[in-house]
Amino acid sequence: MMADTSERRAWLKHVSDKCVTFEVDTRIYSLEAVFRVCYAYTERCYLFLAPATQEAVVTVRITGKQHDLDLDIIAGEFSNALIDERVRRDIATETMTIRELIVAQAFAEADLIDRTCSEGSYVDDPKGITI
Amino acid sequence: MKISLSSMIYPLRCLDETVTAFADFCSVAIGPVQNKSYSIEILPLSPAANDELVANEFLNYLLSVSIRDLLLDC
Repeated sequence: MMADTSERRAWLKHVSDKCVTFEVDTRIYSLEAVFRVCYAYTERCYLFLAPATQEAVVTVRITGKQHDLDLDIIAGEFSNALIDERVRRDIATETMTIRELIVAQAFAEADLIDRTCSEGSYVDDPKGITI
Repeated sequence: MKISLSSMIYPLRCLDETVTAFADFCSVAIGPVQNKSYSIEILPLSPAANDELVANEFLNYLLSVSIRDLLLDC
Protein backbone atom coordinates (compact mmCIF):
# COMPACT_ATOMS: atom_id res chain seq x y z
CA MET A 1 0.00 0.00 0.00
CA MET A 2 2.75 2.43 1.01
CA ALA A 3 4.87 1.63 -2.07
CA ASP A 4 1.87 2.02 -4.35
CA THR A 5 1.00 5.38 -2.78
CA SER A 6 4.53 6.73 -3.12
CA GLU A 7 4.62 5.62 -6.75
CA ARG A 8 1.38 7.44 -7.48
CA ARG A 9 2.33 10.48 -5.42
CA ALA A 10 6.03 10.83 -6.10
CA TRP A 11 5.88 14.51 -5.24
CA LEU A 12 5.15 13.62 -1.60
CA LYS A 13 7.94 13.02 0.85
CA HIS A 14 7.07 11.05 3.96
CA VAL A 15 9.13 12.47 6.82
CA SER A 16 7.46 10.15 9.32
CA ASP A 17 4.17 8.26 9.81
CA LYS A 18 2.41 11.49 10.73
CA CYS A 19 4.26 14.03 8.63
CA VAL A 20 4.59 14.67 4.87
CA THR A 21 6.24 17.43 2.89
CA PHE A 22 5.86 18.62 -0.68
CA GLU A 23 6.91 21.62 -2.69
CA VAL A 24 4.69 24.31 -4.22
CA ASP A 25 5.90 26.60 -6.99
CA THR A 26 4.72 30.12 -6.14
CA ARG A 27 4.97 31.11 -9.83
CA ILE A 28 1.99 28.78 -10.41
CA TYR A 29 0.16 29.20 -7.10
CA SER A 30 0.74 32.57 -5.44
CA LEU A 31 1.85 32.72 -1.82
CA GLU A 32 -1.55 34.27 -1.09
CA ALA A 33 -3.26 31.19 -2.54
CA VAL A 34 -1.00 28.88 -0.53
CA PHE A 35 -1.81 30.87 2.62
CA ARG A 36 -5.56 30.74 2.01
CA VAL A 37 -5.48 26.98 1.51
CA CYS A 38 -3.23 26.48 4.55
CA TYR A 39 -5.70 28.43 6.65
CA ALA A 40 -8.48 26.05 5.69
CA TYR A 41 -6.38 23.08 6.86
CA THR A 42 -5.18 24.43 10.22
CA GLU A 43 -8.15 22.83 11.96
CA ARG A 44 -7.18 19.30 10.89
CA CYS A 45 -3.40 19.58 10.54
CA TYR A 46 -0.30 21.36 11.73
CA LEU A 47 1.22 23.23 8.80
CA PHE A 48 4.65 24.68 8.37
CA LEU A 49 5.93 26.65 5.39
CA ALA A 50 9.58 27.17 4.51
CA PRO A 51 11.34 28.41 1.39
CA ALA A 52 12.83 25.55 -0.61
CA THR A 53 16.35 25.59 -1.99
CA GLN A 54 15.05 26.60 -5.43
CA GLU A 55 13.83 30.15 -5.93
CA ALA A 56 10.04 30.76 -5.82
CA VAL A 57 9.36 27.34 -4.32
CA VAL A 58 7.81 26.82 -0.89
CA THR A 59 8.00 23.59 1.06
CA VAL A 60 4.76 22.70 2.82
CA ARG A 61 5.00 20.36 5.80
CA ILE A 62 1.76 18.78 6.98
CA THR A 63 1.50 16.97 10.29
CA GLY A 64 -1.77 15.31 11.22
CA LYS A 65 -3.40 16.35 14.47
CA GLN A 66 -4.87 12.87 14.80
CA HIS A 67 -3.00 9.63 14.20
CA ASP A 68 -5.69 8.10 11.98
CA LEU A 69 -5.49 10.93 9.42
CA ASP A 70 -4.43 9.73 5.95
CA LEU A 71 -1.81 12.29 5.01
CA ASP A 72 -1.67 11.15 1.38
CA ILE A 73 -5.33 12.04 1.01
CA ILE A 74 -4.87 15.31 2.89
CA ALA A 75 -1.94 16.27 0.63
CA GLY A 76 -3.98 15.38 -2.45
CA GLU A 77 -6.93 17.44 -1.24
CA PHE A 78 -4.57 20.30 -0.39
CA SER A 79 -3.20 20.25 -3.93
CA ASN A 80 -6.71 20.28 -5.40
CA ALA A 81 -7.60 23.18 -3.12
CA LEU A 82 -4.60 25.07 -4.51
CA ILE A 83 -6.01 24.66 -8.03
CA ASP A 84 -9.47 25.76 -6.81
CA GLU A 85 -7.95 28.83 -5.22
CA ARG A 86 -5.96 29.65 -8.36
CA VAL A 87 -9.07 29.35 -10.56
CA ARG A 88 -11.10 31.42 -8.07
CA ARG A 89 -8.45 34.17 -8.21
CA ASP A 90 -8.35 34.09 -12.01
CA ILE A 91 -12.14 34.35 -12.27
CA ALA A 92 -12.19 37.16 -9.69
CA THR A 93 -9.65 39.09 -11.79
CA GLU A 94 -11.52 38.41 -15.05
CA THR A 95 -14.88 39.52 -13.64
CA MET A 96 -13.64 42.38 -11.45
CA THR A 97 -14.77 45.16 -13.80
CA ILE A 98 -18.27 43.83 -14.31
CA ARG A 99 -18.70 43.15 -10.56
CA GLU A 100 -17.66 46.73 -9.77
CA LEU A 101 -20.11 48.03 -12.36
CA ILE A 102 -22.95 45.93 -10.92
CA VAL A 103 -22.23 47.14 -7.37
CA ALA A 104 -21.91 50.77 -8.51
CA GLN A 105 -25.21 50.51 -10.41
CA ALA A 106 -26.95 48.90 -7.44
CA PHE A 107 -25.84 51.65 -5.08
CA ALA A 108 -26.65 54.37 -7.61
CA GLU A 109 -30.23 53.08 -7.85
CA ALA A 110 -30.61 52.61 -4.11
CA ASP A 111 -29.57 56.21 -3.30
CA LEU A 112 -29.18 55.54 0.41
CA ILE A 113 -28.74 59.17 1.37
CA ASP A 114 -31.85 60.87 2.72
CA ARG A 115 -31.94 64.17 0.83
CA THR A 116 -35.28 65.44 2.13
CA CYS A 117 -33.54 67.81 4.52
CA SER A 118 -30.58 68.99 2.44
CA GLU A 119 -32.60 69.46 -0.73
CA GLY A 120 -35.97 70.27 0.84
CA SER A 121 -37.50 73.73 0.73
CA TYR A 122 -37.51 75.89 3.87
CA VAL A 123 -41.11 76.66 3.04
CA ASP A 124 -42.04 72.98 3.40
CA ASP A 125 -40.02 72.81 6.66
CA PRO A 126 -39.34 69.04 6.54
CA LYS A 127 -37.69 69.04 10.00
CA GLY A 128 -40.53 70.96 11.63
CA ILE A 129 -38.28 73.76 12.87
CA THR A 130 -40.90 76.51 12.64
CA ILE A 131 -42.31 77.44 16.02
CA MET B 1 12.80 23.00 20.03
CA LYS B 2 14.80 25.14 17.58
CA ILE B 3 13.14 26.15 14.30
CA SER B 4 14.30 28.26 11.36
CA LEU B 5 11.64 30.60 9.95
CA SER B 6 11.47 32.74 6.83
CA SER B 7 10.64 36.38 7.55
CA MET B 8 8.92 36.52 4.14
CA ILE B 9 6.40 33.91 5.33
CA TYR B 10 6.37 34.63 9.05
CA PRO B 11 6.90 38.38 9.60
CA LEU B 12 8.47 39.37 12.93
CA ARG B 13 5.42 41.45 13.91
CA CYS B 14 3.33 38.26 13.65
CA LEU B 15 5.87 36.39 15.75
CA ASP B 16 5.57 39.06 18.45
CA GLU B 17 1.80 38.62 18.52
CA THR B 18 2.13 34.84 18.73
CA VAL B 19 4.73 34.98 21.50
CA THR B 20 2.33 37.18 23.49
CA ALA B 21 -0.57 34.79 22.89
CA PHE B 22 1.53 31.79 24.04
CA ALA B 23 3.13 33.56 27.02
CA ASP B 24 1.35 31.22 29.46
CA PHE B 25 2.53 28.08 27.65
CA CYS B 26 6.08 28.65 26.47
CA SER B 27 8.95 31.07 26.29
CA VAL B 28 10.51 31.81 22.93
CA ALA B 29 14.09 32.83 22.21
CA ILE B 30 14.40 34.71 18.93
CA GLY B 31 17.65 34.80 16.95
CA PRO B 32 18.78 37.64 14.66
CA VAL B 33 17.37 37.97 11.12
CA GLN B 34 19.90 36.81 8.54
CA ASN B 35 19.17 36.47 4.81
CA LYS B 36 15.42 36.88 5.33
CA SER B 37 15.31 34.15 7.94
CA TYR B 38 15.58 33.87 11.68
CA SER B 39 15.57 31.09 14.21
CA ILE B 40 13.42 30.63 17.26
CA GLU B 41 13.66 28.25 20.18
CA ILE B 42 10.41 27.26 21.84
CA LEU B 43 10.71 26.25 25.47
CA PRO B 44 7.49 24.97 27.10
CA LEU B 45 6.95 26.38 30.60
CA SER B 46 5.47 23.19 32.01
CA PRO B 47 7.89 20.25 32.33
CA ALA B 48 4.98 17.92 31.62
CA ALA B 49 4.17 19.60 28.30
CA ASN B 50 4.75 17.79 25.02
CA ASP B 51 7.48 19.85 23.28
CA GLU B 52 6.38 18.85 19.79
CA LEU B 53 2.71 19.59 20.46
CA VAL B 54 3.47 23.04 21.89
CA ALA B 55 5.74 23.81 18.92
CA ASN B 56 3.14 22.63 16.39
CA GLU B 57 0.36 24.65 18.03
CA PHE B 58 2.66 27.67 18.19
CA LEU B 59 3.54 27.37 14.49
CA ASN B 60 -0.09 26.92 13.46
CA TYR B 61 -1.07 30.03 15.39
CA LEU B 62 1.87 31.94 13.89
CA LEU B 63 0.81 30.82 10.41
CA SER B 64 -2.77 32.00 11.03
CA VAL B 65 -1.55 35.41 12.21
CA SER B 66 0.79 35.65 9.20
CA ILE B 67 -2.04 34.74 6.81
CA ARG B 68 -4.28 37.42 8.33
CA ASP B 69 -1.40 39.91 8.08
CA LEU B 70 -0.74 39.10 4.42
CA LEU B 71 -4.39 39.10 3.40
CA LEU B 72 -5.10 42.42 5.12
CA ASP B 73 -2.19 43.93 3.19
CA CYS B 74 -3.64 42.80 -0.16
